[in-house]
Parts: sequence; structure tokens; C-alpha cells
Amino acid sequence: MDRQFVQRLIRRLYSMLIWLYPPQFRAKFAEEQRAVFALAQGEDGGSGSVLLLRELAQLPGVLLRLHWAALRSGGWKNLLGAVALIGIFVPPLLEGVSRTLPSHPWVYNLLMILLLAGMLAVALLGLPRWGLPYAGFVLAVISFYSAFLVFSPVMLLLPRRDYSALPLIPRLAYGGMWTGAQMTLILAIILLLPGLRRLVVGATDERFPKLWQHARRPTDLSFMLYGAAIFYVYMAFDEYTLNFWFSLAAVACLLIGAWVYLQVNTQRKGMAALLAALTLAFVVLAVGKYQLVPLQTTWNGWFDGHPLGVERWFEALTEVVNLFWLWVALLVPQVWRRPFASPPPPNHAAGG
Amino acid sequence: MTESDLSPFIPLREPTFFILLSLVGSEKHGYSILKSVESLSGGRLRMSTGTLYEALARLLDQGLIERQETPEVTHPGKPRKVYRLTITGQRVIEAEANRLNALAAAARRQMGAEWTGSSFND
Repeated sequence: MDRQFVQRLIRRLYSMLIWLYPPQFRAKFAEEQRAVFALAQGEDGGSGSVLLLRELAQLPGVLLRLHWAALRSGGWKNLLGAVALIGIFVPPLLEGVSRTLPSHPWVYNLLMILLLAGMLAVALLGLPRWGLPYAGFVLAVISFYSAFLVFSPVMLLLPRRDYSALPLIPRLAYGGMWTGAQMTLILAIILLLPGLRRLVVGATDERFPKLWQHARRPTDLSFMLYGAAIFYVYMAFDEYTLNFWFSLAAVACLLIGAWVYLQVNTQRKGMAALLAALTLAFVVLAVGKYQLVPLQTTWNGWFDGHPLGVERWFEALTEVVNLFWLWVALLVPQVWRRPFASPPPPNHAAGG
Repeated sequence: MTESDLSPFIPLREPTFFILLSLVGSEKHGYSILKSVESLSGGRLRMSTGTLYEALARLLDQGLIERQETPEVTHPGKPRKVYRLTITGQRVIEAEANRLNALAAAARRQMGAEWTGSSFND
């Protein structure tokens, strides 16, 4: 591969890492950091991959200290916001812990307490931007458990048979149809509830109490739907064991994506961060499932009558299908903006 | 400034010590500091740009260094920034060097003939 191309690519990756720094720090030092990295890369003579690895190795500690300092200087609201943002990513981790360790009934109690505390903080602070994934998470839970009910008349039209016994591709299509139905239901709920839309995309409306008025972006609706991905990561390793590190990696990808979304100053970069993080997280899930299927001793060789190789691919590709539908859900409000825009106030709608 | 005024800054962490030391006698821009720290530490301390700028931001906040623009230009329209020690920064590095010196002297006195002169880099 062309060396200059690799050097440019590494500089680009380095620039992406800078998005992870706190905004005030970035505004002051990002330009210099990029210049210093480029100089170091020039002198190094190589591609700069060693320099990038050094950055990556020292990055977690640097980021933790800088964000902690930024949060402390921003007061209790910032701190609470950060804790609550991180809180929504805890359920998939607890799920991983509960399956990795022998028996932990407290995990589910802790999970519920954390979720409720996070939701309470989000409500008390008037649904701030960082709290939007909570709403998406709740919508995903609702759609997951009600899609069967809502779409059952449609499903009755399908021939009655054991769909788990189908070959790989039709079986994937059937499973994917359910994920698609759930996403459709979430988007339908948003369209049918003008109050929810107004809260998410039109919360600068002066009729809201001051606490609930927030500066919004058109991409915030997609950010809310990003919360659905957290639920899918939570559900991904249902019935699995030994999945903790894959859950952790997928959650870390999603958390970094959410964090970057909240830090960047353009909507395009924000959407790019969400989609990139989503893709990485689901690739991690797919790889994880492919690796873990043969290790599932509790399944007792039960693969719906399929050979092990087919089952591994089915499990991994299911995550690719889920990723596809999540991409669709996040992009629909951006591509087809008009129906998802904030509805006009009632007096305006009445021609007043 | 009395010794007690410097006490919140002492002891210095090793990267901070070398960053301040690299600025003694001359102002430097970020990349020069990075190279200088590596050379002063005998190649042992290779900082990432993140670690460097985190330390520079903290030292600026503490008033131990100051940052200025120079007429030099690195990128089109972007003046290069340089860092220099403040008087407090100079006092802190002296105080830290004295502290380390006193520690080393105490170790030499105590070890006497057993002192072999082994160094950290050996």
C-alpha cells in the first residue's frame, strides 16, 4: 500500500481520537496536537503507526483525567449528566456479569435501580440531550415486547411452519423481519406521539417549563433511537455464557459514540460518530457470537437441528441484520425529515 | 515567594519535572518539548501528544508556564505557540531539584562504602 496514503490515514485516525477530548481542551490545543503529531510522524520516517499506538496506550488515562477535571469545573449538573449517560450503558454489562458469574440475583435488582435512577435524573433535569438514549431504550423495550401483538394479524398470513428449521438465509430473513417490525413500531410510536416529538426535536418551545427547554438538533431524534441499540446489545447474548468481554467491548463502542456525538459541533460528524460506533459495536457482537457458539456447553449440542458451522453463521449474521435495521431507524428521520419534525403548536395548526 | 508557597507543587511527577526542565533557559513549542523530554530522560520517557498537552494545560492553569504566539507559522494562518517558564515555574523546578538532591545525598551518606553507583538505566 502507498506509504503516503497510510500516513494520511494515520493522521486522519489521530484527528478522530482528538474528538474524544473535552470540548474546551480541544478548542485550545487540538490544532497544536495535530501539528505536533504530523511533525513527529515526519521525523519518525515510518508510517506513524508506532506513534498512534503510543497515543492509544496513553489515551484512556489522559481522557479520564481530562474529562473528570472538565466535569468538576462544570458543576453538579454536568457530573450528574455524565453519570446518567454512562448509567444507560450499564445494563448490558450487568447482563454480561450475571451470565459470567455463577449466580447473582442482586444483578437484576441493581440493574432496575440504576435504570430507574437514570430515568429519574433524566426527568428531573428536563430530558437533556445526554438523556435522550434513555427514551430510545424504553421505546425499544416496548416495541420488543409488543411487536408480536401488533403484527400478529400480518403474521397470520404467513404459512404455518417451524421457521427455526429453515435454511440459513430464509431463517435470517424471518428473524430480520421481526427486527424490522420492531423498528417500524418505534418509528410509528414517534410519529403518532406529537408530544414525544416535540420534546425531542422541538424542546425550545416556550410553552414548556424552563427546565424542559433545551437547544436541540435535527439529529437528536437519531440520538434518541441510538438508545435502542443499547437494548439490542443487552439482549444480544441472551442464553449465552462467557460473553462478558464482548459485551464490554460493544458497550464501550456505543458509549464512545454517544460521548463523541455530544462533543462534536457539526451534525454530520455527530451522525458519523453514531453510525461508526453502532457498526463497530455490532461487528463485535457478530464476531463474539461466532466465537462463542461452540463454547456454549449449556446448549447441549442443541442448534435447532442445524450443523454447528451453520449455527455460528446464523448467530453472527443475525447481528449484521440487526445492524442494518438500526442504521435504517437512525437514518429515516434524517432522510425523511418532514414527518419527524416538531409538530406546530395547536393554535398554529388551527390557523390562528 | 516562600518555600511554603511552593509546597503544593512539590513533589513533581516525573513527566512534569522533565517538561519544566526542558523549558529552563529557553522557550519551546510542543514538539521541541516532546523531543527534549525524551532526550533529558535518556530515551526512557516517550510521551504521547495527549499526555504532553494534558500536562501543559495543567501547568498553564497552575501558572508554572505561560503560552505565547510567535510570528512563526506551522499551518497556513495558524501562528505557532511556544511555552516558557514563569518565575514560579523556575522556583518550583529549582525546589524539586534541591529536594531530589537532598534525597540522593542522604542515600549516599547512609550507604557509604556500599554505594555502587548503579543507575536506573543500567
